Amino acid sequence: MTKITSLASALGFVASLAVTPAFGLDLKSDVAIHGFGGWAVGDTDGNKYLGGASNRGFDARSFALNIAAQPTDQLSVHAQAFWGTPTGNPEVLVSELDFAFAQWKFSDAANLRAGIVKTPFGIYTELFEVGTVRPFFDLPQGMYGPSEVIAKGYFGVGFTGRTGSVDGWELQYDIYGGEIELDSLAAANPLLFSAGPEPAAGGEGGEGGEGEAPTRKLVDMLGGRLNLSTPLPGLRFGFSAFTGVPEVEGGGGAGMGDSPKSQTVIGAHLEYLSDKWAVRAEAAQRDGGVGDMNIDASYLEVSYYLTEAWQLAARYDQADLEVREEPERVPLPSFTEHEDIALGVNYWFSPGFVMKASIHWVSGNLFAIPGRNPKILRKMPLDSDTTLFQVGFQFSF
Amino acid sequence: MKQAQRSLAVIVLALAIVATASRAQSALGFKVVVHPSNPLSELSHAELSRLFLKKTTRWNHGGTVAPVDLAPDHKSRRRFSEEIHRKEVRRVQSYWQRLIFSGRATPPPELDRESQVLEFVADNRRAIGYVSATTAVGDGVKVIKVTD
Repeated sequence: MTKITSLASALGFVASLAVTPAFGLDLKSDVAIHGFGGWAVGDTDGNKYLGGASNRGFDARSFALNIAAQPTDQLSVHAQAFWGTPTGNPEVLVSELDFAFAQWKFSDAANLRAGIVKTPFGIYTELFEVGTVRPFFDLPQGMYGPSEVIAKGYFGVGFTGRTGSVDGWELQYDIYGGEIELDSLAAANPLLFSAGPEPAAGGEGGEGGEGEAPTRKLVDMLGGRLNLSTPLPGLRFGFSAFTGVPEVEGGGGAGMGDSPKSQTVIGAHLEYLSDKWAVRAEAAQRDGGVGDMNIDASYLEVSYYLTEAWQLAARYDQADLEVREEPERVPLPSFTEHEDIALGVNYWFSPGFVMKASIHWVSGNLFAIPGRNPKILRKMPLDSDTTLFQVGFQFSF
Repeated sequence: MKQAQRSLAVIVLALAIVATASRAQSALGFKVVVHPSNPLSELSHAELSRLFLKKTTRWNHGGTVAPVDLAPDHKSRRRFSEEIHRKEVRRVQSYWQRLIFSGRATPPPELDRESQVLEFVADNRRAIGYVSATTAVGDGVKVIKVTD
């Protein structure tokens, strides 16, 4: 937190230069303030999933403020603060610094970035909470849920840039290194390692994710992404990857060994955007890391504008978990699977304000969590199917 | 006599080319304007799109490009978006949302009136803007040709 506070202070100082005309440098005064947010309520037929739970409507809400300043032609600073309820955990209100970094532009092909930077991975990672750039209220959970596949931001240094267009082909790249924090799967799903059929030696079983740190840190991390735009307008595809060493602070936690293996995540994505259609598909695999887990996740998302305002959307999203390291308890089979088939209808008042309604049919308990005491979970029939109905609005400015 | 005929033919041909180019510019439905000190005389559709989407941020002759847009509901903005970016305005707005919130770029300023665009470009040596093809632009800005 000290590191973040110091960084934010430093960036705030640099940003303040942009609005201080008598500083003695040839400073511009380009400061842009933007923001986004949303609210949703959801209801399920049993398990807790995204912003919904049985017989009661959660309030999933969020707001973020974004500031960008450009003190000089080469130097820009960017920061974004977020307040809201994390996806899948609407009871908790969090505030966090999404990113705070400085960028030095050498040319369009080479920009140096340093600080807390949104992770360039796949299609949506840099736009994690921004609802007006996607057709569903929430992102597909297999890839973007607390599955330890993606990380919202990294702390370190990166290069980014793009080439000029050659016969309609254009390359955009990112390379980065430093530290990265991933939302802990075991913390997000407290029943994951407590729902096994057989207790580990030493007891009746604990409270699962209780005591789990909400995030896991990878150090000595290196990553990169390539985006290739094609001559067909709106069609692009790309590849992403990062690898790092899990930081172990005193051991402990479900499935945590003494010296966890390096964690590597690789992914591929494809996106086609036209005035009416948006088609997105991604696949990613997480391998190694704490618990030596393997997660395969993928999704296909299609949306179509019937008119300028009405939009229909459909999505198939899936993930499979394999825990190779012997955990204290083996997860029940349904806790290693996730499949979400979703249909949605949206009404866009403007590109910055949308009402969304969706229905999700979910199989598996990897992200759809039974709301019951983990101590009795294995003694009772488990409901591995969940239906969620969700309605809400999202905005940006 | 033959020399005079040749000269006349060249002049007629030049006028025809200018007329054709002028029609092409008019057919776009807008004029692209830069500061009079800008040495540029023409840009392709693709180059123009890259400048306004901030994919290209520096002029070839030096300096940062300062594009200026019209408001999203302005008729010339809609035509510019569809003819140059080949996208509806709302898709261009979505493009900017992605860049803003990933901390990659901020959109050009959006001005409500064409007179404000002309004033912005006249006052800024690095600026580039556009106005309706029927708008009189005056001496404060330079109209450049848009090629395919």
